[in-house]
Amino acid sequence: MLLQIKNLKINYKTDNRLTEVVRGIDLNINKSECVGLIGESGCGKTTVGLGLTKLIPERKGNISSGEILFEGKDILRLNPEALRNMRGKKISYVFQEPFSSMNPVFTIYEQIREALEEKNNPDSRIAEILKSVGLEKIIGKKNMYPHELSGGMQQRAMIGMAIASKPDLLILDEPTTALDVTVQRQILDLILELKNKMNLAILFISHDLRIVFNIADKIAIMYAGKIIESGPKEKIVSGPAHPYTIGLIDSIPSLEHRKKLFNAIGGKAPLFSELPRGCKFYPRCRFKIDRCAEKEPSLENVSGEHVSRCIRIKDIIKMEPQWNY
Amino acid sequence: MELLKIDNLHKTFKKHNARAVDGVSFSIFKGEILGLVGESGCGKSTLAKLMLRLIESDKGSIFYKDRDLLMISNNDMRKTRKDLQIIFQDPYASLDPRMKIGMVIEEVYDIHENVSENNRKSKTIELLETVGLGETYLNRLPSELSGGERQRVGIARALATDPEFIICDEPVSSLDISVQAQILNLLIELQRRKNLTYLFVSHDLGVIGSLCDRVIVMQSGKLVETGRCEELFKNPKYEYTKTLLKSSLL
Repeated sequence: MLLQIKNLKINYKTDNRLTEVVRGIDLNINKSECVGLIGESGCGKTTVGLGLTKLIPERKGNISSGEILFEGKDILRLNPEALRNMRGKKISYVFQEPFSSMNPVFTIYEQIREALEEKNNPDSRIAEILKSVGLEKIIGKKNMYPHELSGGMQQRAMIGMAIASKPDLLILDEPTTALDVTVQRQILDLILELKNKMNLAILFISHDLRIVFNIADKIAIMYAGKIIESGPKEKIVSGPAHPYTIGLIDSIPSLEHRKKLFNAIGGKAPLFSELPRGCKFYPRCRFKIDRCAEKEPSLENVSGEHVSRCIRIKDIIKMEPQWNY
Repeated sequence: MELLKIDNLHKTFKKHNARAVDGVSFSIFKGEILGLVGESGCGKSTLAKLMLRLIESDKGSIFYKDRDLLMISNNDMRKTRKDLQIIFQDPYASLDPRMKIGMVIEEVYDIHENVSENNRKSKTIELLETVGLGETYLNRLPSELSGGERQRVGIARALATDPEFIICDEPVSSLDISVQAQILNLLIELQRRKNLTYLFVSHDLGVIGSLCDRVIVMQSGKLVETGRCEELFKNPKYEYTKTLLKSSLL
């Protein structure tokens, strides 16, 4: 086990009030495993990613409880220096908008050099990195700035920076969302290739199940600050056991769906300040019964490592899937 | 019935000497959803803007109701835009941040004067209800709305003139997949109810495949392939269309 998150809770400050947006998350990532973390905007998924290396500024919020064990050591208890050695080295990040994550006044070379663990003879190592992320074209072009690259190339450069320190864990937060389909596919292929070559463990954060179905080994689905279903990819694809997951799968546009209305999830995600009682998905759920509003369900076993936070698991898994994936 | 006929349309941006739209011809039939796919930078948004004369073409013609839109006066074009509307990609950027939602819609009536002043308020409320928002949104600012709600406002604004043709320029590509499905449902329902015609611009073949009757594929300013959706998805002829299909996560 490379990373073990136990009962992680994170609060944000709004108007001097604390709002809990990550409400107790457990998640494990093994060596060279890709875990997809799925959810709508505002469900807390990005916060989980940032919280892993305590990247939430104190004026904005805090981690109120939990443990984040990385190779057995609790990241939340590390001293500042040890934490710095972890961030960007053992655990590195790639964010959604490559251009706003890079420094516009430094060259690509300078920015990759900064991330290298071994500073001796950087040029040959940088060339190696550029080659491994498919940027052979800019090897030797030391005066190249981020704005001179296209969106896809910028994202490749970002991935180059992220792997320069030979990390064990890569956190990818919607790395392909701003990109075109063809470029998106190339970036996903690149991520898979690097994962296999470098034995990388990956936490892939996204709102798009299609992408995660293509890349992840394990999937966790988040709603209103908690994981509501998780398990091996195959099990989630073939037999989703939470109404929210079913709704997300039914929202995927495809040729099979032709000219039909989507069986979309109604309403919108609740605000953290106005969470409903009981199951947080209850008001939008198409399988709800009165009992759902009584108490928030706990994660129940479906089969093997597949778990779901729903009191009607047994009824739901019996249903024939209506989609064709 | 042919609603719009685009013939040999050209647009070069002089600064970069880029032929954004390079001799494009196609027709749109009444009541259909025509998909327009292609990568960023292939000229698809430029084409959409040329069709409504939001930017001026260099050459070509756009026939609508026996008139060439490129030959009529600006004033006539402004009147014609009542029938030809557009929904933009970025609902954040296409709404004035200081304008309340009710005003966004009523402004349309001020410009086109298609609704009498006494009726504007009730019409606005009716329209907001049509797109699933309702009266409570009248006095809200765009910043108080989610991405999906803003796009609903964009749709309401386009519907305010009671158009027969709407260009949907990537209307769902910045939205979450769950919200995307809601907005697509709304667009499908409106199209059926009002017998609208759409030009649906997207780079997501999943969205195109689930919605469109026919597709045109664009690359570097040119149309490279046209066909019925099912056929084009099963037997793409051009290499570029094949790459697009292979890349998409269908």
